[in-house]
Amino acid sequence: MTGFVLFFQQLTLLLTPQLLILMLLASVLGVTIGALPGLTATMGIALLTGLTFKATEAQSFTILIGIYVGAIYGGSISAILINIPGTASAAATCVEGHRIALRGEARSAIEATRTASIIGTIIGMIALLFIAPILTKVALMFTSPEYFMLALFGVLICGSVGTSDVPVKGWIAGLFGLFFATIGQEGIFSVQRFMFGNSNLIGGISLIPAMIGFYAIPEIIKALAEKSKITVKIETAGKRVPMWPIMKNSLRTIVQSSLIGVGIGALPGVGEDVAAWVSYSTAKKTSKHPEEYGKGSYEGAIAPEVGNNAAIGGAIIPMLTLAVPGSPPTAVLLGALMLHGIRPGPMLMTETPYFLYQICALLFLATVAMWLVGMLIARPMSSILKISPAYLMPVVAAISIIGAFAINLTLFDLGVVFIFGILGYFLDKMGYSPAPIVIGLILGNMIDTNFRRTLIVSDGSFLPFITRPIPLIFLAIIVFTIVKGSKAVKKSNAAAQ
Amino acid sequence: MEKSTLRKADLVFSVILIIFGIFVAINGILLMIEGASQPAIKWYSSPGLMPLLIGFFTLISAISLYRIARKDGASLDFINRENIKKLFAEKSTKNTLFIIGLIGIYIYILLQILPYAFATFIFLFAFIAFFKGNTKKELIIAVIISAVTTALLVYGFGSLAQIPLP
Repeated sequence: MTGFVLFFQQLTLLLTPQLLILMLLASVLGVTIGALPGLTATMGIALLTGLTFKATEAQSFTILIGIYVGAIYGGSISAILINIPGTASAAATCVEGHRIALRGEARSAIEATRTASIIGTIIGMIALLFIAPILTKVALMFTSPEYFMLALFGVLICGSVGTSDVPVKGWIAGLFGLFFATIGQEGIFSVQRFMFGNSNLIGGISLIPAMIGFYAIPEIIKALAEKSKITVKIETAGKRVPMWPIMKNSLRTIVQSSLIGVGIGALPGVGEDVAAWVSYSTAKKTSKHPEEYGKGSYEGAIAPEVGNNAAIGGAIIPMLTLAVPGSPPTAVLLGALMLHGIRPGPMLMTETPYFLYQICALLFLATVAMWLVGMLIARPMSSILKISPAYLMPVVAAISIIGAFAINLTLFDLGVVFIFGILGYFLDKMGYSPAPIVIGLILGNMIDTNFRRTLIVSDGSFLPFITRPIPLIFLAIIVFTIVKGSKAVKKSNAAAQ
Repeated sequence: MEKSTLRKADLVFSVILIIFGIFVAINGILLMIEGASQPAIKWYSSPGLMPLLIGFFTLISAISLYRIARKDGASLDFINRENIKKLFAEKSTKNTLFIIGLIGIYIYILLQILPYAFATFIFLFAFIAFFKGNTKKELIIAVIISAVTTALLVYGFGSLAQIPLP
């Protein structure tokens, strides 16, 4: 109950005209970013982190959470209208959502996914409200071996699920991230590694410029080099189907997808995309009407939207309590937290006890804003989606570059955007997801320092990794994931032969 | 990317990764040797330990990727003058190189020698005009979008957010 009281306290504090207007504007921007193919939630948050870091903490996080929630929902609009997911997390929504639209029920499909997104975000928020304080207490018991195994598990699991090709590519991407994290002065003996005499690298590679590079530049190149033409053929008006019976009939799927969303969101680095696909496939497997799937099932369109939005709250849980991001957008949020002097981790509830409830209150406000904006923007969105990438992407490029500069005010960071952007583009072309690289970059220092600290304390013995229960559990899952991935590699080898 | 093309790229990339893995591992070993001269640094606490492990696992993963690519029928003989010419003749390659080149020129030349507003206007106009500047009307639209965006960025970052511009 105390959690609810503190949540309402924070909510009251945030109910100022200035923050409410900011939340509405952020939601409009978020939904638009989410709906426009090529612009992702992660990119949106990364760009706005640079733009807002001089604003107050409340203003910054109002904007960033508004963008996050809005963008995850916004992806479903283009998925329904043009069969192109605005964000990767809306890819599963295309399957049923677009077929509903083709029946002339686009308006109802958008309404159903909006309602599903609202329910998902609220359930994720409730999970955050109740699970995070408990997890913070558990995290207080964490020492070096636990943190090492947790971070390693995060990079590995993200690598395993974050690739569309062979699993080894996910692991290579994770190793890349870990390598980038070793650049600069290391944390125990202050020894310089891989700096090649460049003093700009002493603090390591700046996270936000690197993320802007990885997420923005490849999308700009892809959108223009490959010239995918967007055509909006479906009208946002059309037939309207009563919403209440649809939601009532999908109640079981909603509960199921919420739990999947929160659970998958809470796994380090996995995130909204996987939550949406798992929610959809589970809904299909357990449905009373599986024959409707693939033909425009409302239940099938609702499941991924509940799942991906519930994953938002889920992904914030490890970010706040363990400083381990649950998804790529929360990886950027983690960077934003640090820029504002908030230290996520077990001490969060001691040092900044209000912050968890502030984030919950912002999630609630972002949901309300998303509901309002979703209603207003659905119709004009069909026109917005017609904006040519030739006009849009150069503007995104200019914002990306000034956004990256704004963090440290150094031209060196623009080079980071450029180099990581080119690298990100070619890796993307070869089937490497940026998520494991980014998670590796964020968790690399945690892995390195905690691994060596454990060995220093145990005088070189590896026993603490197998004699303590939590590291042992993580180790078992890591071994299982590697064995399963290796079998998949062998299988693909055999198939090739 | 088609699977056969993807595997050819995987093959080339796996060779690069093998070299990269060896480079990282050797650097890790050198850091360990350097650390051995200090009594406080043991092999298990050495700053070179993590690079060594990263290099080693990159090497293993790269060899695995090489084997997958080879077993899928990829070989390095596709790298010849004719194929390289064909690749550079493709419109998507030209577009990609243009975008990368323009962003590079913006960051490393324009922003270094010109005031932010001029550099950004030139960058935006060149970018838009390249992809949508076939008619006089499109060029006028490109000028308007470039000017408005530049003004908004200068005002938003420079005046409103009080962030010093590059």
